[in-house]
Amino acid sequence: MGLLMRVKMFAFLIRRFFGLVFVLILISVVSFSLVYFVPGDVALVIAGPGSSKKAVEDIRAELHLDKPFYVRYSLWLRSILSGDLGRSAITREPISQLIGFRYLNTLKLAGAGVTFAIFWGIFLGLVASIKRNSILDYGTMALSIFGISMPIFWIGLMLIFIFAVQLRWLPVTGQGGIRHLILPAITIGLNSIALIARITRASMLEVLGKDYIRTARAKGCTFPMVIFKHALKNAMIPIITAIGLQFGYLMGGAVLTETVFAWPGVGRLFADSVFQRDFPVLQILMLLLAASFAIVNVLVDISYSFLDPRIKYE
Amino acid sequence: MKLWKFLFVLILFPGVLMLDDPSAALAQSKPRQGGVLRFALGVPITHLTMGKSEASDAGTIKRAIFETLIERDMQGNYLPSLAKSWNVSPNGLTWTFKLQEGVTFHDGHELSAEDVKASYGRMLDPKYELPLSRVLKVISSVDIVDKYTVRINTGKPTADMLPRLSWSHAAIMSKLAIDKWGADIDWHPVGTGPYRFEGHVPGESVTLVRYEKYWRRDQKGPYLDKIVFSTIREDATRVAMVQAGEADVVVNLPTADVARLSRDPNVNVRSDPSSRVAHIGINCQKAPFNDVRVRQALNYAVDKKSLIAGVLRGVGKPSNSFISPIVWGYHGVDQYEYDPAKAKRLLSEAGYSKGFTATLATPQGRYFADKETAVAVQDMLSQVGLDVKVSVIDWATYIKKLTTPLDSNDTELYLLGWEVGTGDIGYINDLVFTSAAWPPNGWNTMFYKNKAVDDLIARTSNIMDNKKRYEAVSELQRLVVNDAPWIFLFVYQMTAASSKKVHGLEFLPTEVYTIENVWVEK
Repeated sequence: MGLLMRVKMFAFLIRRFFGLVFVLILISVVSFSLVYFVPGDVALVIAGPGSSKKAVEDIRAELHLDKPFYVRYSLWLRSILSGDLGRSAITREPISQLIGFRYLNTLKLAGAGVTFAIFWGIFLGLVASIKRNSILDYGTMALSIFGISMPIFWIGLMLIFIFAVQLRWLPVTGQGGIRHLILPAITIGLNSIALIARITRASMLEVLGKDYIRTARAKGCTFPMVIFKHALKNAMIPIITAIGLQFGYLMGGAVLTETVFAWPGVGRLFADSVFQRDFPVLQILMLLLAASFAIVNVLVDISYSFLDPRIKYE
Repeated sequence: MKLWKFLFVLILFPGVLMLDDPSAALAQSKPRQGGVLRFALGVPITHLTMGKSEASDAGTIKRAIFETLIERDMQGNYLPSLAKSWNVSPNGLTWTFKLQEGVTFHDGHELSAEDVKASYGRMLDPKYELPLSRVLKVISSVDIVDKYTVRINTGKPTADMLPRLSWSHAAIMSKLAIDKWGADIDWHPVGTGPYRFEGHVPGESVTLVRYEKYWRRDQKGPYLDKIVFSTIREDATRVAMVQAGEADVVVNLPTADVARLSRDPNVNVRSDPSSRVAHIGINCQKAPFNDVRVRQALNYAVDKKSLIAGVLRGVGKPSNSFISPIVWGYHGVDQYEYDPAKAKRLLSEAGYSKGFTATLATPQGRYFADKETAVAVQDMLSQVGLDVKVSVIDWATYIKKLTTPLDSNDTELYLLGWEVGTGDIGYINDLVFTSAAWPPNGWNTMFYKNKAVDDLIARTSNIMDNKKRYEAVSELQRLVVNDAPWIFLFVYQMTAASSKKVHGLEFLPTEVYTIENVWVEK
């Protein structure tokens, strides 16, 4: 790349970075304040029924509930930036320990789910676009609609019932290898297949109608080369966008899958913390998940410029 | 062709290759040493210490780790445990216990009177503010007489002293641990029980391992090498696990699955009476509920049998007292047969022939079929002309609402389930039915006040003679049932499913399973 391009790319990345920081700050304010909109006295709810006045007051002091909002927020932000994520209000455990391995577990799950969804989604979409308006087209689209219509919960339980209980091919719960990841990944990925398939199909159909495809065929390119080297690569932008958005959805939708498979991830931690009113954990989790989503989308953004050189670093 | 058929069958039915092991039948009669027991619980374990509220599942774990001075058997007799003998002074104020000698804690030191004094001292220490300590508040002081003799003094003669001391929270903790950890002792349980705490993953699992030096190891357990308690929130997943052989014991079965699991040849399903009574509490100070005729009408209007058959699918028994039949002191009062006509009559006598509106508050997911029960009761009350609205409230807010002091409490009807931790009626008398227990000082969330009941409760707690005490508490139950501060619904049944390979699992009325005699086949 020429020097000008390099400078432009650097400026582009810097701009993106600051944009991300701004979004993160916004997210942190929202995450921090949302938990205070619940009914009931926060301190009493966290302390639990039958707790003494002193225990309630201790919690009130620890979470600085008597101080004005901006003071609470800046105290919170300051401790996070210095690495102290605080403690769970229920178990008193350091939140960094609570979240650490769970975040990785959810990433594993979401990653496996997305991989499963990308493979089958693009495959089905490709098949549908190549054999447009044929049985294959309608069939694969119907299959993907099935995937998106079935509730995740039901899919998970049905998979468990068939493959774990009846056939005993796969385990119900637990981690430690591909075997434990298969059913949860299918459960979480099934919903996304439909979206990826449809977008792949639509995007491919648009690209396949273009002149340069006809030129490539006329030039003598083999069929696979046309599809993969010429068509798919150009169709990827909407597909990548969808995948990026789906990844965020998966991180969130992991709650149901993690509950059904007792997968120790942040999705379940999130649900549990909501029920138990563990506000400190909720604040950190919301920040973490929203930040993950924001980062993934920035990466998707940056990837456009690699996929389509026409997109300049404006 | 024969070969192909054989292979075909083999591929489709791999089970064909599993021939019966003839030694299996022999093995069942003798407990096998070793193995791992896997429990699947529905709630996370938040602590393993005494004095704090917990889900009943945590009680099962603590029972394997800790022991009490005395223990109660299924027939209600009190047997020696850490105390080998005891006596009470003629005036009923001093209980002297002689401890077993040579009992060691998991941290190695020998059990002595110091540990007993430290354990009860901690429960009653105001600086720890343990919510359940009120059950042991009958203890005024603990004296160390010598290494193996301890004296427990009570302010007044306490009729249910033994039940209170056999209560799971009256277990003896290690003095060394209490001194070392103070308020942070939640996850450092050091007891004398057959299994010791090895570790936990917060919110996910708790692991116990065999305690080699358990003082009773010659008489019974521990047989298992390890016990793992995993938290699996989703009911259906727990059921799938026990069917797939991934869990050995699963508790709190969804009613819909009980019948199906009973048909599974690999699984044993058991159903045991709990000490928990489901009821609708009535705010006795709020019109129209301050009229006893109205409260009685509500009781006549509920068809308990259909409620149990329809909502609980048969898993439960109708309640005719405020305690369950397995609690000491139980005296059934069959006053409220389903009679909607009588209900309507009582209502119009009280001046409500046109009925009235009311709100029934209920949690969802805290008790078995809680919301469903509330909705069923709503329907039954509508049959006698009452317009009842069901309000589902999340548990944390619910508790706050119920325990708000009277002047700002707008609760009318609420669903709740009381279990009796000590197995003796004294526990719930003090906690719920005396007028001194109106919130915020206790759990009399019905704001019920009856001087005759107050007097009777005060009297019965000091009657040491079992027969006389039983007469008095029977009278108490007649009074309270007639006064109807509750709509008495049903007694819960605890359900559990275990793999056929598990032997020796027992259930206590405090909704706790005993593991000390459990062994698993290979």
